[in-house]
Amino acid sequence: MIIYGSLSIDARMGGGGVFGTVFLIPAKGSSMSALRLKGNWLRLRSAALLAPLSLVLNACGASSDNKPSDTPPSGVTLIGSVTLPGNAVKQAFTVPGVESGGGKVTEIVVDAPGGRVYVDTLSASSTTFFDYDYGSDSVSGVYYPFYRFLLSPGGASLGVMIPVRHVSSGNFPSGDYTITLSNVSASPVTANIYLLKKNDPDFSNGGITLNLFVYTVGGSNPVIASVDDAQAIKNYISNIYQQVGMTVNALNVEFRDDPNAVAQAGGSVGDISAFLESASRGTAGRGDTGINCFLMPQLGGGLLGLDGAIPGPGFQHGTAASGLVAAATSFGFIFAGYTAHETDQLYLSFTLAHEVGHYLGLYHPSEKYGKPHDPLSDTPECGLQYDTNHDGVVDGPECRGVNTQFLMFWTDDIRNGQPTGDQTVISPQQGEIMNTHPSVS
Amino acid sequence: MKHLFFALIAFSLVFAPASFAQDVVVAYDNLISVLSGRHGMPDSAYFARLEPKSATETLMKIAGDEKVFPVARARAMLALAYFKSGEAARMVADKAANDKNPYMRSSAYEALGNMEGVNAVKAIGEGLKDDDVMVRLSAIRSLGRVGGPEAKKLIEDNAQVEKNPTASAVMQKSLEQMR
Repeated sequence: MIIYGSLSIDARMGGGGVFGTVFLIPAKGSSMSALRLKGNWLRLRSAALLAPLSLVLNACGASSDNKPSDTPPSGVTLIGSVTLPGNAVKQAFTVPGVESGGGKVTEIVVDAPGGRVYVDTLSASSTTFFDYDYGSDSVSGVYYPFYRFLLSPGGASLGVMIPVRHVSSGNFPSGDYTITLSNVSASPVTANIYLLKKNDPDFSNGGITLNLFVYTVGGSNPVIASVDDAQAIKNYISNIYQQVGMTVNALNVEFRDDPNAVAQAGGSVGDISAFLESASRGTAGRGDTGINCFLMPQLGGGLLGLDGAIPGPGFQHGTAASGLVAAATSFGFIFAGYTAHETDQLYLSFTLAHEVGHYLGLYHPSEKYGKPHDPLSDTPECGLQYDTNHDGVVDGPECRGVNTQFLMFWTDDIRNGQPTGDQTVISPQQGEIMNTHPSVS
Repeated sequence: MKHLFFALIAFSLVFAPASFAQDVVVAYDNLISVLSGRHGMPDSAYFARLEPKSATETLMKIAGDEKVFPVARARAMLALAYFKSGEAARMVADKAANDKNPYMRSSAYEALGNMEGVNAVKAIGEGLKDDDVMVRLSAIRSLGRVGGPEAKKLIEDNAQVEKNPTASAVMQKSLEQMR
């Protein structure tokens, strides 16, 4: 049973930062710790008070009811379906009505339940933006590095941003695009193709909504057990994102008591992927524009977080990639003067900020094997030349001073056995990508 | 003779990487960082490159170091499954039974099942009696993965006394999957 309620939280933070500034972990007792509720905004419905196990909190001041709607969010249009025969046979599809430039952004979302789909080509007029050759496993096209995940045959849903970031809109015409899809599974599947459109007069700042689905064990979650906990997470993430003009404007928090989900998410990485796909599908019908975050009290196999797609499918719910999963786990550790509970909140915030970064279109600046690198010119590369111990991986101490300071670095930098806590930087170009994504209003 | 020379070169090119593969020694902080990835832990190909004795010792040290963030400590225990070591298995069993941090006990039960399989069923079964429900959940899942009649009986017996509704439901689900 789920009881709906609403709660408004004013969580706008002061301060901020500039590119290159370290500011995730403030001194204990600083303004970031001074999280407060505005009492006159507190509107907790009595029904919610009667249902401690299943409580939905909405942290957006404008919203009074968070019930999922049967109406898709405005701006999502199903433009057609195509049958993909399987065994990597290509199928071209014309995508009409793409808008780019003048504040307009379009995301093409391909959702093929049961399939394993990749994009073979993306083109418009005489320009090929992305071209993957299955036979030689080679990629070309004028923007191919931005579309790296489109050839990953690991899932049934993917998103294609046009333009890849708003400053590139001049290279992406409005009008008809051609997308060629392949399904590498053996059986035919039907791919539904959607357009998500965004019109933003000012890309220099924006806000996101996070839908936190908090899974409980026996009625409680070890990291997010209360309104204050949810607010703290929101504020920590906002504080990281402020450097590129972004904030977490609103939270929708829903506590779920679902032993089957807890059991599945505690299994292998394959089990967790299956859970993520199932939970993402389960968001169909929601009417909000939030990014769905499934927070599990335990994830198996040492996993901390997993994102459905890069980029995620905007504000479209119900696809296989409409969400991310993260471990809301109690680690029993005291860090930098924080209590163990605060440390858990910080770590979860860090994980969520990283995963949401993926959802909004960011790659790791350099992958752990020293390649590939993201396609941005303002995120330095830590290639295999930095692999001084020759283990084939570029770790934190090896990449220190190169790109470990970035939020999207693939792992923790370590000093004296502990995370440095200063890996929060988002570059201006990364910010451009994030602010282009349709989930950012 | 010339053919033999080229054959030797070809042979060394094919087999030399395998002989070098287990020579890599990774320093303490570097290995902690490798174990601290945002998404998950390294795959078996990574551990196959490491010099086994040194890697086992370093992983055991990380797992036992309370100054290290528990994510890396837990993954160090999971990584020890790649290196067959009785000493490591005993250390992980000790962590499962005695570590004061529930997250570490929970992770140790997962690692123990991966390392020892059916040989660890009795030890993992002790986790079903842990005061912390997250530890019990981990022990249930670990027994479910290991499988077998002994594991099943342990879950059945403890299902009678489990009070937490989530743990109780996960036990029932495990039993259904073990049938």
